[in-house]
Amino acid sequence: MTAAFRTWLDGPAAREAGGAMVIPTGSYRIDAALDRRIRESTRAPGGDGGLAHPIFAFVAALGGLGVPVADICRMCGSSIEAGPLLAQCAIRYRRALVLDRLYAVSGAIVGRTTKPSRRFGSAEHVSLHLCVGNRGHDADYREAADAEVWLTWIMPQARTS
Amino acid sequence: MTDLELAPWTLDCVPGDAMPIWAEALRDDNPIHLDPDAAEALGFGRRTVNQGPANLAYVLNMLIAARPGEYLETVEARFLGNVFSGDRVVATGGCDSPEARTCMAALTRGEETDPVLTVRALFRDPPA
Repeated sequence: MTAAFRTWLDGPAAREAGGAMVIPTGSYRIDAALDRRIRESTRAPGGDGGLAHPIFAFVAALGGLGVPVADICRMCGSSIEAGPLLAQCAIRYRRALVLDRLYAVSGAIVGRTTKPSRRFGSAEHVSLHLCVGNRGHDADYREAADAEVWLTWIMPQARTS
Repeated sequence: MTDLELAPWTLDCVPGDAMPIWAEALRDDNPIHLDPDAAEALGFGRRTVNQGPANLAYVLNMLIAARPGEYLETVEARFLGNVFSGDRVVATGGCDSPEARTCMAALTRGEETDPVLTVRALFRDPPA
């Protein structure tokens, strides 16, 4: 268990705001080299004018959280080793993301529902709301965000026996 | 129903060696993307599973190529199936008209007709 996750469970970083479980704030720098590697891996053309590939709204939102995906899985009673799957996502772009800039990233778990699953037997559908470029998940966070991401994971539930 | 078909975008072979790059970028070390043994043990077969954001990036590539100089406002995606290392994938899509802000797109793999990913994209109004 990472130190950041332990703090989140035990300390003031773990709090509920309007029914959502806030995730520790982190940051993400979309450096030009990573943008180039991602573009090459997806056979995308080279960048234009110092702007990141639009998929980086998602990459920065998830990669820049204060805890890694594995910790979020554990918090939801699952495990990264169980192979969670992405079910859906939505991205809102207020501004194009810029290379070599450090973005603040904040997020919250905004929904959890247990559902039967053909693949996993039973799974937790976990929904997150993430913001890139804002100062934190406070009352004005949405207006300050360069991008917002909503996503839902299907997380297999840990077996109890 | 869309009246204007966008030029399809094809990737002949999903690169398995790119999955560690995505895992590091996303801080997501889900073993199904990195370890064929883990993928098989979890019922996905012997090939590693491509990350969902990578599949979405393929569709965004198609949309960006079809609408040069335009900026996305929103993207909504549903991940309906898995793409595997070595797969051939094709992104297709359409808009109601050349001026329409909304485009619908899908990603299919191999010879399958059912999409593994569907996307609804909204482009910004051009500046006045």
